Amino acid sequence: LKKASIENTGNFRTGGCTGFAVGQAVRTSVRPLFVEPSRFLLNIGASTAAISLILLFQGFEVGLYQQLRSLPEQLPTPLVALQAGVTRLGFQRSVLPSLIRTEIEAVPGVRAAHPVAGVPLIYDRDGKRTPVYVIGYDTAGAPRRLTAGRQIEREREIVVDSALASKYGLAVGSEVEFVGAKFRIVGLSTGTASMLNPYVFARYVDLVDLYLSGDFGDAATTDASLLSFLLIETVPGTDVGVLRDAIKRTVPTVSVLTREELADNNVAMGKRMFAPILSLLVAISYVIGTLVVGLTTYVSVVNRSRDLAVMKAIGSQTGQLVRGVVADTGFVCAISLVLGIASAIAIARAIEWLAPGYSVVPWSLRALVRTSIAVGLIAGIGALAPLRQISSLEPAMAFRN
Amino acid sequence: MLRWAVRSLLDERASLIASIAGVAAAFLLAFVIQALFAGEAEKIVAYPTRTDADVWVMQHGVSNMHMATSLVESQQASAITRVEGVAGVTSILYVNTFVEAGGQDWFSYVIGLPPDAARGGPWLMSRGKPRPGPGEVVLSDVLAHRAGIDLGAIVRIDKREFIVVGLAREAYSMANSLTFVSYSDLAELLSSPKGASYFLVKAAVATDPALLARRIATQFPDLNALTRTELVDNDRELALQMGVEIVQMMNWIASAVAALVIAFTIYSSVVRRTAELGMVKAIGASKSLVYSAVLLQTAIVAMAGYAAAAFVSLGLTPALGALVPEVSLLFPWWNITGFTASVAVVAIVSAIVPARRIAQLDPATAFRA
Repeated sequence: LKKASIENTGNFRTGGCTGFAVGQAVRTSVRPLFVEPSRFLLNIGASTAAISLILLFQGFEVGLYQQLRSLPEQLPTPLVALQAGVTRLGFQRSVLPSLIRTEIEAVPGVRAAHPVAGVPLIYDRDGKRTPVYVIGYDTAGAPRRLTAGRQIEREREIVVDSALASKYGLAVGSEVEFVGAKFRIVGLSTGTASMLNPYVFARYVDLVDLYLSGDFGDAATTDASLLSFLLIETVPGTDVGVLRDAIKRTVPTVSVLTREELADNNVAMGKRMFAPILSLLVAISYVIGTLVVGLTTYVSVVNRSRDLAVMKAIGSQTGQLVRGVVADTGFVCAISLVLGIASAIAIARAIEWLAPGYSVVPWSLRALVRTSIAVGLIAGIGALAPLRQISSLEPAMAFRN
Repeated sequence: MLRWAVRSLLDERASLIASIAGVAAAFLLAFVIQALFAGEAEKIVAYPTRTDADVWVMQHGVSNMHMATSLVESQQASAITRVEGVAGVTSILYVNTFVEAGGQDWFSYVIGLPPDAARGGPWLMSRGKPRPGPGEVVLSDVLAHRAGIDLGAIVRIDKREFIVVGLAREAYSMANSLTFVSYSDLAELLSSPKGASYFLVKAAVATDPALLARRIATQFPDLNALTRTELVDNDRELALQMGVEIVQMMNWIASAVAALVIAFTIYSSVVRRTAELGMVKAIGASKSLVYSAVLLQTAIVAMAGYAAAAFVSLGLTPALGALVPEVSLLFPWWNITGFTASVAVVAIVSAIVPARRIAQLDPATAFRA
């Protein structure tokens, strides 16, 4: 019985253990892997699943806000003029009078004001419908990164977000119909989708033609102009802040924001809309995930309680038992964390592949640190809770059981 | 033998409680997230669902509300009233825009209601009056709470000021909230004094809404007419893509993790009893008795975990409502039953795999162990 108990315990020395060196602790902690592989793997499996859950839920939140930031940050100019009161890109309809471009270009320090039309539409094909945001650009405003094809060069050509293309099985060369007109896809862009809608890029003049012919089925029919915003290119060496104030003074009917401000405003709006439910989901994942880790650790130590009691009875100090259990738990936690991070990243990649347009970022430093601390803490509690009972056990009781 | 199985389970009380707690935690995770998703999926279509209209009539080419703009001539309402099977028509104006409240912008469906609107207004009030007059607004009570405002506060829609006269319940979702103003105010804001966005049609008794929708669409080729069910389905399809799908994905992940954790817990619970069960087999118990004992122990752990999770879930609904008024839990019992059935299969497999090894154990090996 004594031999069997010692074998089962695996990671505790019976005598002569005056100090528990770190190397020895790690060495002895690895031993259960070989002594009881199935139980060890089960503990690792349950903890890995729980850690992946926590990281993935945070990854959804982080990815969502990153997407909202992505498009404003890709704009080619440092300043953007929008309808007065409009402070976000893609969330709000902005309508500028066409003549305002000349007024803004007349402000010293402005090199050019590039017109852009932004029209929210619903793309309908094969019974599937998706809200999209069409960007009509002229001299600036093309998507920054293409995954296939080229930028628009001729009339009735468009570039679509690769997630949208993937959803509908579209590719470079495909013909698509938008607002009653046929367009040919010449490029696929990336980083141009948010949780609200993927972006489609077209020539400004093509959209103006459709607008003037009254082909916009619903959106923009009531707008006085198709011009939504102006990308303001500055003269080299111009102070952006000073220029913005000058434009505001000269043309008070527009809002002028920097790319960063637009990105911040988009994220703030996304948080206002989605934070209550996403934060709640992340909190639930923390509570349940850490509970699973804690319970798994607790059961693992309870299962070894007889062995631990025998160890105590034959002379091991409580401190030695505690150090052993902590080292053992730390080892399981470390492996689970590594596997949890790896599986969360793999699942995130699978989600992005299966559901293009969604971004899941489970590896943000903040999430990793928070998760590691929470898991370590709860696992520690789960491991040490049964030890109190074991340490108070009479030696005779241990052998009787 | 079965009595022994129960007693053996109860003997290791700490392990039993931990196993039940593990299973309960997993079930709870799945239940609550399914309920959150179901609640949100219903709330985003609350307006067309709860508005008492059998047929929705809108601009041709438009087939939903979410992110859509529909503009038709308001005089057509009287012509629709004369269509056979129509009991009543209410015109509403609608735009999705931002409402500035408490110094922040809130994305909202803004509905313009005629003074005598028979339908289309808030269906449940928290406080105040349900029909806004000129210069007045009825907001979602949750939005007002989040914005830190109350009745009598001033909000802005497109720079125009409105005084809050009512707070509506069930008018908030993560994708939008509902805001009600007078028809004349919204017509002015939209610069369309003779326009309407949707006609809400009430069908006469014994009139099939689908037939009535087809009749209206045929008689008015510049309009689109849909039954409430069609409009709700269209709206849900689009609204889900605007953020709520993320919750759905989280729901799938949570369900998968929950099933995995239950499988691990059950497997580990049986593996823990390998020596005992092997001994029982060695002293003469048949294979079927070993399987029965294992399945009984599994059923006890799984059912106790399920019951605990169901109990806590039900208690969570009012608690979450008070703590996080933005979300509401709706337990989709059909989905939960489906999930539970799948998990039952997973649990049985997780128990049978180690049990099979025990059942095939050589008695001599059991004693040696």
